[in-house]
Formats: sequence, C-alpha cells, structure tokens
Amino acid sequence: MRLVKVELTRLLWRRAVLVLLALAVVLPLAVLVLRVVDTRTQSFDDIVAENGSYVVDEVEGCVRHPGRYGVGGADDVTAACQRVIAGWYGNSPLDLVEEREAGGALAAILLVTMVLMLAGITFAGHDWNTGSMSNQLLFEPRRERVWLAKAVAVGLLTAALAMAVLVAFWTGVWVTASVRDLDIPAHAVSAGYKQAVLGAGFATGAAVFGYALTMLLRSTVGTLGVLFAVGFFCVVVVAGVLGLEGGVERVMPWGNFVAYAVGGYEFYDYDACVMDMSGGGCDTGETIKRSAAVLYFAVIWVVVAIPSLLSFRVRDVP
Amino acid sequence: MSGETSSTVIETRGLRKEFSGRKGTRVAVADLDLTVRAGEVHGFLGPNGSGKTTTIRMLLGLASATAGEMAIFGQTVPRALPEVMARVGAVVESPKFSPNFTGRQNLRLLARSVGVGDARVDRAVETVGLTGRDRERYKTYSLGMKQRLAIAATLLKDPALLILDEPTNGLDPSGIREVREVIRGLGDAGVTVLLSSHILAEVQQVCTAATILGNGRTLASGSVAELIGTSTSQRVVTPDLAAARTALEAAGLRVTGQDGPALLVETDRPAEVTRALGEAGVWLTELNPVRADLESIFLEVTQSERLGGQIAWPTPGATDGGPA
Repeated sequence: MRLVKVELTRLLWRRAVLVLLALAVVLPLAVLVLRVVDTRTQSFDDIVAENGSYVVDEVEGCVRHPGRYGVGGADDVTAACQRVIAGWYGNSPLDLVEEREAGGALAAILLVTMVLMLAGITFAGHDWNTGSMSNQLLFEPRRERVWLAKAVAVGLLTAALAMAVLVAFWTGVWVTASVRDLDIPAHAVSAGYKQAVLGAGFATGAAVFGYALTMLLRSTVGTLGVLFAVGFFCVVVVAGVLGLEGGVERVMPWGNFVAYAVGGYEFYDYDACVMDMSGGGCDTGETIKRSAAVLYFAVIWVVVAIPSLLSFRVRDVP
Repeated sequence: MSGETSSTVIETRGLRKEFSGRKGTRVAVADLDLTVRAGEVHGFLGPNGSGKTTTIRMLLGLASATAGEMAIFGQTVPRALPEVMARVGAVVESPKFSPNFTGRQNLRLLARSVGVGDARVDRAVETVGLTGRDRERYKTYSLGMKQRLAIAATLLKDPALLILDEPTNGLDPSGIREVREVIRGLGDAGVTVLLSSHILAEVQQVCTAATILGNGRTLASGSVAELIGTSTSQRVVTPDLAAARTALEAAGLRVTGQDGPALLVETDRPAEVTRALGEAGVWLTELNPVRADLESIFLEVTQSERLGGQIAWPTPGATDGGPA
C-alpha cells in the first residue's frame, strides 16, 4: 500500500501526466458541448440563416405541391412544410439511444481511453527515459511489487477520472434532454450510465495496457511506434488492402470496441454468401457480442501485461 | 558462501557476467572474487570497461549474474536483497532522478518508498550541503549538485554499507573535496564503503583497502598500505650507468629502465644491488627504494595483466585486508 501511495504521488507530480489528465476531462466535455449545440432546437429563421435561401425555395415548392412532401392534408400547409424542411436541414434533436449507440458517448469513451493510455505510457516511459527506475529499485528491490504498485496507481487514478468524466458526460446528456423536454425512452438513462461504467473500465484497462507495454519496451517512443504500427497494419493493410471480408472485421479493434461499449456490433460477411453453395438465401449479417469483445481485449491485455511483468522481473535494468 | 566471516560485508566468489549480442558473447566480469570487510573504505579500481560498474550492478540486483555467488552482510544476493537493501545505500554510475521534480521531491519519493519521514530528508539534504537548493528542479542542478543529491539519497536509509560508483565524476575541485570529506566522515562513523573509482589519488586518500580489477578479474587486493608497500624496484644512481647496468645484469638483476641519472632495478632486496655493484667496482651515489603510489601500482598491475605477466600481488585470500 505504501508503494502504491508513492506511485500515486509520483504520478500526480508528473506535469505531462497532469496535462493528459486535464485533456481527459476537457475533450469529452468539448464533445458534450458540441453535441448540445448540434442538437439544439432551431427556429425556421435559424435554419434559413445557416443553410441559405434554397431552404425558403424548398418550402415554397412544398407549399405549391404539398402532396409531394407528404403534407397534403395539413390545415396550415406552410407551417407543415416548414416542419418537414426543418427536419431535413435543421439539427436532429438529442436522442439518448443514438447518443449511446453511435453518438457522442462513444466518442467520449474513445477520447478518454486514448488520452489515459497516453498517460500510462508517459508515466512508465519517464522512469525509463530518465534512468530513475534503477534508483527506485535500490530502495525497493522486489521488482514485481514495483511493477504492480505502478500498475495499481495508474489503474486507480485513471479509473476514478474516467468514471467521473464519463458519468458527468452522460449526466450532461440526460440533463440536456430533460431540460429540452425530449422524449426519453425507458431504460435509456440506466443504459447510458452502464455504458459510462463500462467505458471507465475500458479506459482504465487501456491506461494499464499502455503502462505495461511501455514497461515491456522500456521506451515511450518505442511504445507509440508499436501502437502506430499496429493501428496502421489493422486499418490500412488489413482493412484497406485485404478488405474486411471473410470475417476479418471480427478481429478489428473498432468493431470490438463498439460491441463492448454498446452491447453488440453488426457487420456483413459477404464472403459467407460467395462460399454458400446451397442455392438458398444467404444471411450475410454477423454480430460481435459483448462477451466476445471482452475476451478479445482481455487476450490482448494479458498477452502484453504478463510478459511485461515477467521481463521486468528478470531483465537487467539500465 | 564459503570463507564468509561475520565481519565480511561484501563477498563474491567466481562472479561472472556475460553479455550476448550480435557479435557474440562478451565477458564483462570473469570469475571475480571480492571481499569487503566491515569498517573498510574499500577502493574498487580498474580501467574503463574492467567490470567495476557491472559488478556493482550485480550486487545491487540491477543486473543478473551469469555465474558465481554474491553475499551482502552474509546473506546471499539477489535472493536476500529485500532484507539487506534497507542497510545499503548506493549510487550507480551517474545520478538518475526525475528532471522535472525538485531535489526534495525526488528524495521524498524515495524516502516514502522505505517508510522514512521528511525529517530524514532534511538531515540528508543538510549533510550533503544542499539546503536551500533542494526546492529547485533537478534539471537545473549542476553535476556536482546532482552527485550530492545522489549521495543524499543513499543517506535516507541510514546505511551500514555505501556503494558509490564514481561519485566524484564531473565535480569541480571543491566538490570533489566535499564529497571526499563526506565519504571519509561516513567511514569514520563506521559505515563500510565500496568506492568505485578510476581516480587513483582519490582512492589512496580516502580508502583503507582496495581491489584492482582488470578484464573483469581481481588483479590485486588488500589494504592500501600493503598495496603501496609492495615495492619491488630500487632507484640506483652511480657515476657510470653503463658499467652499473652491466654489473647488475651480470648478477641476474633486471634493469627495468632509466629515470634521469638513475637506473631502475627490479628487486625488493637492496643488498643484492650493493653487492653486485661492489663486486664490479662500481660505487653507489644513491640507492632508494622506489616509493610506489597507487597510480604506479595500478599501472603496473593492469599492464602486467595486459601482457599476461605474473606479478605476485596481494589477493583477497592472501591478506587479512583489515582497515589500516
């Protein structure tokens, strides 16, 4: 416990880490503000001012031919046309379900995750870059304890921050929807908070993963290089060149992330139909379940964390 | 470990470290035997690359040994390091701290990791003369201040053994003197010190015993007085150096060189010189034993190692090596 406190102090005294923690607060907040602004209720005049006079032309066309716009039987055709055209050009109202499944909430989790992973990387990288790791081991030679204390410190701090930020984000979304008197589907709020908790767990895992990978590679630059290379390999080589057919998407990080955060991810495997010789209809739809996504990320985490701890135990420390 | 005594603070037997790389295996430390006894300020001498730092790093658990045994305070390390490190302070190579933390912050983190309070930090800072500068960022420190901070870190644990690897590297003359005073003071207070250095005058001034390393092996070891006292040369001044050389060589003595008006003769028996010259009718003007300093001993012993020579220097097993 003493070591964990020391490592927490070391973490909080690091300016680079503090900057990243601040970013982990500011970036999701910025996403929330953008979502609040993007979903604000607009008057027709606001829509015209934002999109130009062709909106007015469109309304006039609607008034001339209301049947084409589906408002043929309206009492006030002009008002009905304005509503329809506003729906096309104006903001979509805040939708809690969409926000959770494909909107700002996912972006917030992703941003918090990336920034906190960087915090874990820079925390460990600093010890190696400055050579102060050897100094620390002269005071606590039980290396596995040092590794674990640092990991726990990174985990505790990032878990607390991620939880606070993501819960605050979802509270912001909920409050905004309530204030605007929007329709809030049953369980949408509880599902949102559940996602915030899951997101905090994901961000924490990523931060400790970044720490563990840096402890393994002993270099901030090396770790970032590996992550970049893996990202490049996944996105550009596998997805771009080879394509996502044949179930490759099942092992892509993005699909698994969405599956984890939302509860499932659907994709289409067209190769399955090419290979299907039965002659009947072929269902190309595939789903990554949350449990599969948890397993996917857990395997990646363990594959890095265990060798990191073992190598730290036995390798010479410069 | 065999040969261990209650007064032995550091002992290595057959210690070996190999580094494997693309160009093959390099032996950094080869079957090193080292004994440091309680109360010694023990110099650890050797040319660059002789294995001093690697040995220290193995003792402290920062590097693993390929073979051999090590003990600190009679306990086998690295297994017993968690028990013994509470009594060991060490500076390995250059000081390594977080550059953006103040000196005090760096010390506080280390102190807290061993459950030591801020009062000890204050005392350590004061001991090394960093009071007033300890709240400045480490990256603004001069090399001398960094070295002092590193020594302050070793004092946080109230150590019974200090292992210092080149602690005066890069210091200005006053800094060197201050650090030497600190080391001497610790030695006087009963702290055993292993001082790795290639500054021979420093070792001679500060240390009570020394071990000389070459190519990872122990070349000589013993008290500094013993090492210096192992003088094997005589300085012979005569009016006729050529005749003297002929007479000495005829008597089976080896003339190793000429130093101005004098011949240097390798023998620890001056009577052989006077007899050989007397029998040849060459009269002596001066005959002095060459007073070796540690530098000449070091050069001689490391040169001998390079040439594969067999000079009989004291070795750990051949001397009691106690404090002078």
